[in-house]
Amino acid sequence: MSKTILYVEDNAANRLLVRQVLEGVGYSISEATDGLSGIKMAQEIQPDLILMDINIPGMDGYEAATRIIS
Amino acid sequence: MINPPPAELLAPDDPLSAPSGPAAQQRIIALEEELAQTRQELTEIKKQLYETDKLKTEFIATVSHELRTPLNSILGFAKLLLKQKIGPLNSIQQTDLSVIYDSAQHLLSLVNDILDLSKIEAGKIRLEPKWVSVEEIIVGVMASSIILIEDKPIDLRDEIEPNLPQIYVDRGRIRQVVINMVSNAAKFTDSGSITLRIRKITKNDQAYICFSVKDTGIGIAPEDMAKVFEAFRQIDSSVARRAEGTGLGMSISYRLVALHGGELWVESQVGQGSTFSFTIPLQPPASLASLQL
Repeated sequence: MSKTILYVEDNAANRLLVRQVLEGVGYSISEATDGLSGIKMAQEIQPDLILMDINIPGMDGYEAATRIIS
Repeated sequence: MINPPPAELLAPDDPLSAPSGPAAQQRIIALEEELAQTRQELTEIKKQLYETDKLKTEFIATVSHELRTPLNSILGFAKLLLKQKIGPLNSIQQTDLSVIYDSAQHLLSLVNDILDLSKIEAGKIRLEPKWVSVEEIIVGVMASSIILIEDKPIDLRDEIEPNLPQIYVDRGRIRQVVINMVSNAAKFTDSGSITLRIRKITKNDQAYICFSVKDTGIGIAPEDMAKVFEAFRQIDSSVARRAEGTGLGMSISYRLVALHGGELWVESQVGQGSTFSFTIPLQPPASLASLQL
């Protein structure tokens, strides 16, 4: 089974680009567009890796990352 | 008949016995009030100017950042398509996409240069100095310059004095200056050689490391020398617009070297070539030494 990456980013063009690049090399990608839904998704799908922008709506990437870790 | 001048314009014979009496007193008070008011106005204007300048700098920084986000999308998708991971391209599509990619890359370097220059001018550039060796600064610079000379018959050389002491600099920034000098040389040289020379020199009892890049290119006329370090200046005559560039590289380099306590200058002869050099003092300036990480 392919590894799962959660990508949290509000810019749609960036999401599309990263999805195409990562799927191209065989990863399965899940996306969230803000910090809060990123945290929710991280709990649901338990990804192998989370890529997160710092400037995202709601709460910034640092805070969201801290909450996911705890 | 000649009228006598008004009394207040007459110089008093004795300065200590300046005009007195209620009228003169009133005049002095009025003048003092006027002066105080002017002073206040000036302070206000100064404050406004300071604010405007700050806003301008913040505006440029924000705009530059906002410009970079879409540019990175353009670059990213163009690259993705060019790599043909998505599907095969015919040769025309490939050429067209390369133009998109190269133009976006050029625009990005313009944005980066403008951001750099505005940060330096606003005194907001954050240097991260460390003690580093000359080799750490220039590693890979010459190798990556090979792309710049394309297929022109140019010999790339380096002459680096052995056992040079370390210098206290922002490695990335000084590397940026060296790359700028080498790529500049590559742009304006059609054949011959480009030599990067690094050595220790002493000037006015102070020891420096001197970096220089010597080329056998078109050279710079004496009257154009001063323009080299001005922002947005590529000497714009028949020869010069041949080189794509922002025209900001040298003025950024000049300022970056100055921030490190060094100097950047150029020696050149038309048709013979140019030598750009800069120095970095072995004893870092106090302004830099205080930036301890």
